[in-house]
Amino acid sequence: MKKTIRKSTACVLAAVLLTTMLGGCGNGESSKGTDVSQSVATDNIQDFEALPKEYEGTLTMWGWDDIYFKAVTEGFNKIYPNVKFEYTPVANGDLLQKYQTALASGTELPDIGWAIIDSRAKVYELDMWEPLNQAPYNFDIKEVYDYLHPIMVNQKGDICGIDQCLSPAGLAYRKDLAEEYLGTADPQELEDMLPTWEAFIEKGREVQEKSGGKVYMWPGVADAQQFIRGQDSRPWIEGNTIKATETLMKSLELACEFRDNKTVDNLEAWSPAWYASFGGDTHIFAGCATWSVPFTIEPNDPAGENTGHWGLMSAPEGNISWGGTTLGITKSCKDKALAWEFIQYATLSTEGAKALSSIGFMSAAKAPYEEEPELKSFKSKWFGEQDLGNVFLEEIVPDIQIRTMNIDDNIIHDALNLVTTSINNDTNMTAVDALELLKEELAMKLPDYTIE
Amino acid sequence: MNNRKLSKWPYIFMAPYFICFMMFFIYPTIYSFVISLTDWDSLKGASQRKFIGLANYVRLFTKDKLFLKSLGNTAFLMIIYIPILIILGLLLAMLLYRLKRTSRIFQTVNVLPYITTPVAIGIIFSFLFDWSTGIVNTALIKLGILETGINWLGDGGRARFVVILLIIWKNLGYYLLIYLAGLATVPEEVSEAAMVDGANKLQVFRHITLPFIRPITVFLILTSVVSGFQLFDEPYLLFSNVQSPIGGPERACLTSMMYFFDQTFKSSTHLGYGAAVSYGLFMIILICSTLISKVLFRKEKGE
Repeated sequence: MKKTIRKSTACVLAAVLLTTMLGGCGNGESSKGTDVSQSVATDNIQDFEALPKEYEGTLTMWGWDDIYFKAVTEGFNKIYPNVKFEYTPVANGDLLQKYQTALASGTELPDIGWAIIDSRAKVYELDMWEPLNQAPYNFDIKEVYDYLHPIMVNQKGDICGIDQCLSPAGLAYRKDLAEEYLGTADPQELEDMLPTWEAFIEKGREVQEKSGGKVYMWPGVADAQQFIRGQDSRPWIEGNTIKATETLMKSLELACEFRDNKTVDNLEAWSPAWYASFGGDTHIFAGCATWSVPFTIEPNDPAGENTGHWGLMSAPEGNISWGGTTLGITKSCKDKALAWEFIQYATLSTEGAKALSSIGFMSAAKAPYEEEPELKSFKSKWFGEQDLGNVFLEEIVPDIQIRTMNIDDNIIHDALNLVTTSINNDTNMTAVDALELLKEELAMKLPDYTIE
Repeated sequence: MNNRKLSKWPYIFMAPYFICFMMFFIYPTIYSFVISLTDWDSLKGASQRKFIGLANYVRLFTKDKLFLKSLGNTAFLMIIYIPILIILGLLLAMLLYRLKRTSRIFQTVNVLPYITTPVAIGIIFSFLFDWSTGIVNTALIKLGILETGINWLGDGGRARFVVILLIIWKNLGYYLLIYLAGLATVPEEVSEAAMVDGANKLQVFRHITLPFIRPITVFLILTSVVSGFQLFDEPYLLFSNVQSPIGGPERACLTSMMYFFDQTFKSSTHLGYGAAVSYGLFMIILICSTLISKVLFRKEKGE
């Protein structure tokens, strides 16, 4: 009898384990099957029509920008009061991991997926996005600013998301310091004075001499390097080759020159000291995207309010797109019509653009500015009478050249960060040494590529 | 008959544990081994994964220099901090064991870092050792020891030093507690008898206290080696800034677990290769802990 009990218990346990294993394996497959069928099914549907105002539904999102989420969902709820939102905060750096594990384990994805630029190339290749350029969405990419087009599509050419807002970046500068050390605070005169990074370095030397080594042109080499990297639109990777020397040598040379000429201070970007530098009086310039104004300049320079401390200008050798997050619809979204209605509101509509404007953001769509030209205007008490919106839209955006995304760009960024740290620490490191280090790093992390 | 009926109850009561154990431990362990034999890239989806046998393991142990570097880093950190923790923990425990009144206060103070969340510790240390505004540099400059600040977190060697300091500061309280518990098991009468026979304090410590707490030391060494190979939080959080390279400067603080995480979820999306990294690490931990326990227990038997 004992033996029988033992045997039957063992059988039950084995059956449970087997069922769990098979269940576990099967779950992913079945959920995938559902996704595909849903995706295919939507292809035969006509364009979504506008939903009635009393429409009820719930949308889930994972995100990291509470202010943005609150602004757009509250605006949307004014039109659709019965729509609810469930928001799960996640760190933007963890996004790829969250999406991957959800897909691999077959657990639920959010209805609306966010994709930050840092990991977007990889995130867009995950089999989880509704192609917004296809039926029933039929989104025309020309509705948004042209420079954003290459960073809204995956390798197949499908549009996986629409940018929450514009994120062009030029240079912000402290007017008082520019006046004192460069002789002018006028943006046009400064742009004429600093047409190239070489001119920037030369002026930086003069500023150092005049200030007795106290004032720098830029807070740290890492953020300066990042800005310069963003100016070159040539792809780093072509086929199976990483064009390191051709596309990255110049930025490494500039980083070394910045260090040697004390153009930059030694602040680590995004560190407390770096943030505090915006309220200090020892750094003249800093990269400035649309979001930098409310997030980095205004909160860290309390004395600058109403004093017109700051100015905005085009950077030497061109401006960049800095940051940015898209909204897309996941294949597993339970109410795609509602999700599309929300995304259209948040990214393309004039009402959505007004909600964005209330938090200092600018819509990525062109139409809102045509319908309500005053949306082009955006001022900050820290920038005096300068119309930042106008500078961003009319001067900075047309000047942006953007690099086509590659799934391994993030690894090159990481290797460049490593090299920049070494350049910053080792004053004897030359650009040639830095390039060799970069090549070694890339060879270790991306062994399948040829590195030129 | 009654006995026969009763005999099934132990199985029934134990079944939930075994079922959960199999579901949440055995199954994932086996399944991740299966994954490690595939070239599953999550960008291509689960349907595209192919069985490639031991190819991931061959690449891991013969071609992957970064994995070997991460192993070297982890071993280096462990070789430095484990002996320091063991010695400091024991010395501190000896000191506190003698204290009667204030012992509790000191114990609590020493254990506080251990119960603090790693995220907070990472932030505190990055503030302390910041190049331009860190408290350490400011203090050293004000004391006249330095003229300009040291770039603690920008150089490989110094970054390792900070990580070791962080680990020691965080974990010392745990070692102290375990040793305090161990010291309580040393019978007073044996020490007293030795003292009566003329042994000095050092001799008592060497020939009585140390042998009695030897199992505690063995336990601490083994668990430290196992957890050392899994070191992740401290170095990861110290270099979690957006523009910090993974593993810090020169990748000097890239540990094996950080490498696994980076390969699987951060820089790359190769779940198959990531599983091979974790199994490779598992094998190394198994070999190391077996060797260490064999050496330590053989010594014990010899003695």
